[in-house]
Amino acid sequence: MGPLSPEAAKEQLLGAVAVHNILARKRVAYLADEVGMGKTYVALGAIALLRHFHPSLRVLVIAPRENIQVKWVREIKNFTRQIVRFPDLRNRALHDEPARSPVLCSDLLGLVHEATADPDRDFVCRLSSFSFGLGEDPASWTDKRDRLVRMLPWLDRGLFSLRNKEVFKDAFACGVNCALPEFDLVVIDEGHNLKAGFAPGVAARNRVLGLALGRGDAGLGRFRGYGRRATRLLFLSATPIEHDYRQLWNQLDVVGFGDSGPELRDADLPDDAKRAVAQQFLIRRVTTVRTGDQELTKNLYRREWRGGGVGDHDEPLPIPGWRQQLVVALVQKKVSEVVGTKFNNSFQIGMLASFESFMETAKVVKGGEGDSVFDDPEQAEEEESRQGADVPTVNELARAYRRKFGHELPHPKMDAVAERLWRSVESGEKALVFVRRVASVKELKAKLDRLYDDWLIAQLKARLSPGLRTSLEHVVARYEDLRRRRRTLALDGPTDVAGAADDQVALEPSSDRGGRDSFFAWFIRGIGDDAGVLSGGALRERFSQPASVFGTFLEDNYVAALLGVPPGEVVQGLAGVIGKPSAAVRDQLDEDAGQYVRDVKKRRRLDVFLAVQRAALELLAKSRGPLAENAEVLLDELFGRRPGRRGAVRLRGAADAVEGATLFTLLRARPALEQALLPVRQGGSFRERLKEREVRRALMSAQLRLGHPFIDLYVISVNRFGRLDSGQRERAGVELQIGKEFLDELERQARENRAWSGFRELADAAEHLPLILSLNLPDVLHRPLPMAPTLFGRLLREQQPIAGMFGEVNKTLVGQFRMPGYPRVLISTDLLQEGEDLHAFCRQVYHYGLPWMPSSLEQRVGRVDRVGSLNERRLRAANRVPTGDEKLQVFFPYLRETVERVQAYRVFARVNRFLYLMHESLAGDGTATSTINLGSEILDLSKCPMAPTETLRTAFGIQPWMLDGEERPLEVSMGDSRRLVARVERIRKALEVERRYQLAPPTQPGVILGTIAVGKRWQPFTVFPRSIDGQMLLRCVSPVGILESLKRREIASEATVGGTRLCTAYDSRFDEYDFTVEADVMLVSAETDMLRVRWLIGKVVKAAERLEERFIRDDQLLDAFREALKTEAAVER
Amino acid sequence: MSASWRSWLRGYEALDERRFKVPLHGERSQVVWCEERASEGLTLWSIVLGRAECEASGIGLEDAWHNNRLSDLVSFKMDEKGRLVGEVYLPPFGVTQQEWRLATETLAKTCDRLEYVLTGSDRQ
Repeated sequence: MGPLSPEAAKEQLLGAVAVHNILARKRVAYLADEVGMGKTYVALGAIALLRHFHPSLRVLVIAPRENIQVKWVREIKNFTRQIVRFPDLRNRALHDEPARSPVLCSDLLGLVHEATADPDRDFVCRLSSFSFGLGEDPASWTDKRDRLVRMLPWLDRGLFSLRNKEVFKDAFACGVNCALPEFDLVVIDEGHNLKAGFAPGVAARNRVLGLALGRGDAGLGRFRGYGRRATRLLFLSATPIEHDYRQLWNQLDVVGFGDSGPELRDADLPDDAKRAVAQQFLIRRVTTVRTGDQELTKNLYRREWRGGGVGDHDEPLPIPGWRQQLVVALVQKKVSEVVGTKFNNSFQIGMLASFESFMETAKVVKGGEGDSVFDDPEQAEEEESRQGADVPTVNELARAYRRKFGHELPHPKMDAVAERLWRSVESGEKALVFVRRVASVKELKAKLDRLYDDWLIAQLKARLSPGLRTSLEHVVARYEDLRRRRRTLALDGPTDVAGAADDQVALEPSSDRGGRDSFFAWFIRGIGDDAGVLSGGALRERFSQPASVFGTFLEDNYVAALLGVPPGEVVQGLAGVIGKPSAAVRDQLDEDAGQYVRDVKKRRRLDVFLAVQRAALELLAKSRGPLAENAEVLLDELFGRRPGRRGAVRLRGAADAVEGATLFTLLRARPALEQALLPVRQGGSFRERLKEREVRRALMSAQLRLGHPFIDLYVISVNRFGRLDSGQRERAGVELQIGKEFLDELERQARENRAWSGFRELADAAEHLPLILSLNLPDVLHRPLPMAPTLFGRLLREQQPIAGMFGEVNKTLVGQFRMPGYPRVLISTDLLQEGEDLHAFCRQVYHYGLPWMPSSLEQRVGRVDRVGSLNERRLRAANRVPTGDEKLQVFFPYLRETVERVQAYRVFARVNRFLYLMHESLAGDGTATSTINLGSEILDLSKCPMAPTETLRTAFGIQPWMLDGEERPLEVSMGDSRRLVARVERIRKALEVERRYQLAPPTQPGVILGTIAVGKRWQPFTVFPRSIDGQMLLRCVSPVGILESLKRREIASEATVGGTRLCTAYDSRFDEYDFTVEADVMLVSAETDMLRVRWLIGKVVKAAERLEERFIRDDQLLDAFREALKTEAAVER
Repeated sequence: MSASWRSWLRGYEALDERRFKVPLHGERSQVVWCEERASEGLTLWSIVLGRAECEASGIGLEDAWHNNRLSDLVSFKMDEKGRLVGEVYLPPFGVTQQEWRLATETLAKTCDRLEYVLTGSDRQ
């Protein structure tokens, strides 16, 4: 979640202690902190406290949907590494991984499979799995039943009635219950999703969840072993209720904890009495930002645009011109008629499509559970409402208008919002837009893409040399033609809403052929129509061609950096350090570099550059001079110290390449710019500094190749080439001229302090690297450095200036929105409403399509209003009461003259009611229904319900008893932990000096990777720590290899001796088994450590070697297994 | 050492020289054998399923191998009598009471859980 302020960290710690104590005393706790305060981390803190003292604690996490499920697994790892301060063997293992493996379960059967295979792990599943969609065909039901029975062979198939879907689901849930172990703690994230409770008629999902966790006695007697599976329960949600405390009881009741607050369901009890009951197990803190001497709560640091407009605060949206006014009036008339005749003058809030768009609507299919024009149709009760009550009428109008006038119906709201969004793009602000209607994603994106195209084409026309403009105009004409043809096709044919992912295909950057949604995607990112024109895509390909003059452009000259000399003086510098004449050094480099180039004849520029870098570093490492140690580190981190080829031929002239200049050597000569783009880490070891710099360089290189700064690089390059055709090859040296001009351009942009520029994007990424890494690539500093460019390349691939999303989460786009750069605007349905952190570089939310639930509104804003957000950073930096423009902006665009006003006012009233229930001393108001009676309410011209302006005070603060508790010493202290680390280090050192061991350089604490001589053969192995009930184990794994199925019986008879276990992963595609031999040993006292470790390694490698010799025969060395063995120490198996 | 593990049985029910019963959650329990093998240290083992049950339910080698991949400390195998058994091996150096009891509890719990999953019952 990114770096925290000390105050926020303290709040989280207090929250964790309070939740721990509430769970200990009440068995149930509800953490309802406002959105973005880090509830996940508070929950993980409470779990860590519980687990430290009870290492066998078994936890089940239920996340609302897949993206949040994945986030939980990621956060468990982040929390373990960053928050658990030392390896206590209960939460954090010695090698910095979670001591208990988190297991991600894709569906209910997956949960059963994992829980039956090994119940002593942390299971992370998703609430949507409990929806348990069943088709109409009973054959699919029997398939599910049979798969369950295969895992629990004693279950009676007769218990699963195939006559009724609901009865079958109940039976299945009871069967799942039989497979689950008892969980010491069940965490239900976004618990408000269960607010409808267990009552008849509510979502089957709630019922399946309740029964799977053993609610009531539904399965007793019929299902052996059926019973309660949750000992303690922790709910998380910033919006635990909408309008009634009863909804809190409903959630408890779903999982059989209704007796924890029965008063909450008493309709006759006043709100105050229910509040007092809830205060016993629910805590909620409010977000505050201190500016000067004032604490601002969210209503004070957010600016809500409840007036409907997006231009001037609290003003309505204008409807410009008579044509638009007539269109709006006509649509309103038609919609009113539909609502009046078909729906008896009332409609479900949020289910009218015309508020968002007049464009024709098509359906989107979602998960086979029915289809809808909305991504979250659950709120509507009637099928016709689910499809959008006014859709057929608006579709008919839209078609008629297009036939008559040849273009789309104007939509004042969409046009005004698009214009406002574009202004914010130009001012450097990112924006998050929520729509309710799937088609609005495409429509709004298309409008903004058009505005972006106009900007980009104008930029290119202005900046390209006059001689290139005619070529550019031809390219633009072809693009416009393509757009026109696509538009015609789209209008004549069906609207392909479900296929919106055609610009979102996950490819490696090098294979990106571009998209068709914008000129950037088509020509700058892509290859245009490939008509011999040097497009951006064609230029970028040259950066990845090892033989191209650009092949080394984004490399760094490590040798020059280590020697502290500029390119051109490297050989001389080397000669000085190793004490040999320059000519001898050159000769030696030519001689040595050959062994590191695979194909000497090809002499590809990049291969030669890297080979000679390596050869030079080897010289420095062997020199025993002052730079030897750092050269060793460079070799280890960059090249993995793999041996060169024996008997390689001399690489004549290679020494010239050691003088090679690159963009990064040029940058090094401009200290101010370098400090802004590649700031040097202060302190730490050389290895740590190197790793950080290389990660920064990899990120910057990816941004340069794939993002907005590439436009500058492209313009400078083609101007320098003086042509726009792709045929000609560039002469050597041109890349350095381009590099210099590009850095000049960045310096100019820095001086001009432009809000939206390539420099701004690069500098923002450099400034906020820790935040970016923690949100997107938390592992990158722990992985081999050569992987960093690939990881950033994947993260930044296929960028879109304006992005849209519906149906399923596009993780690449989400990751990119959490970074500076593209996409500048992200338009999404409710899909992104929960779970994704989008706050790092965005402080504007548009509720373009208004949901009816306050919780949905709050969740949406919560995507950008989080601890460490851009908004918070800016407010803290300014340290004064913010002006309206400086606040976090929340837009509710609607047309005051339309039915939408009624809906908006109702929603605002409900938001105010929610605030009243959750805070002290606020006036209560609002009604509970989600339907509007149009006949009466359209005439009600009462004022818009505004947001409260007083400082919010929570009604559910942490009470003193929640922090009271017995002080206990830690079970494992930091000193104990240090001693354990030292013990394992001693083991490693002792093995290192034994001749029969060859160990690889350490990559993770406590992990040993190497080979051991067994007779005349070498056997690879890894040893890494695990823990069981807080006791440290060492596990040794040695690979055997892949064996086909036929040999399995034979191998079994071989491997049942020797006190080891034979393990396998089966690959059904090839009918193969990937075998390893493993064993564990506990470390009980330092005196016996070495005896035990030798005993462990000895028996494992002996068994593995014997199998390998008998069944595989080749003596496979460490390199064949290196990557696989490294992952053995990781948590998921 | 052979004498010492017998003095660590507190809370367990000794059945004979090599066998004892470990009480578990609720009414469940698991019988564990402990044997000393000269150079290999102590082996603790427990039966998950008998041969007939394995044959009836189709439980075999692959299941043991897959379980091994996820298992901490406990190794599953089909023994020479066709039974599915779990084993824990303790080294021939300085086994402590705490280590032995942790190994025993882990073995008993793991085998009992697998027995429940495969049979739904607690057979002795």
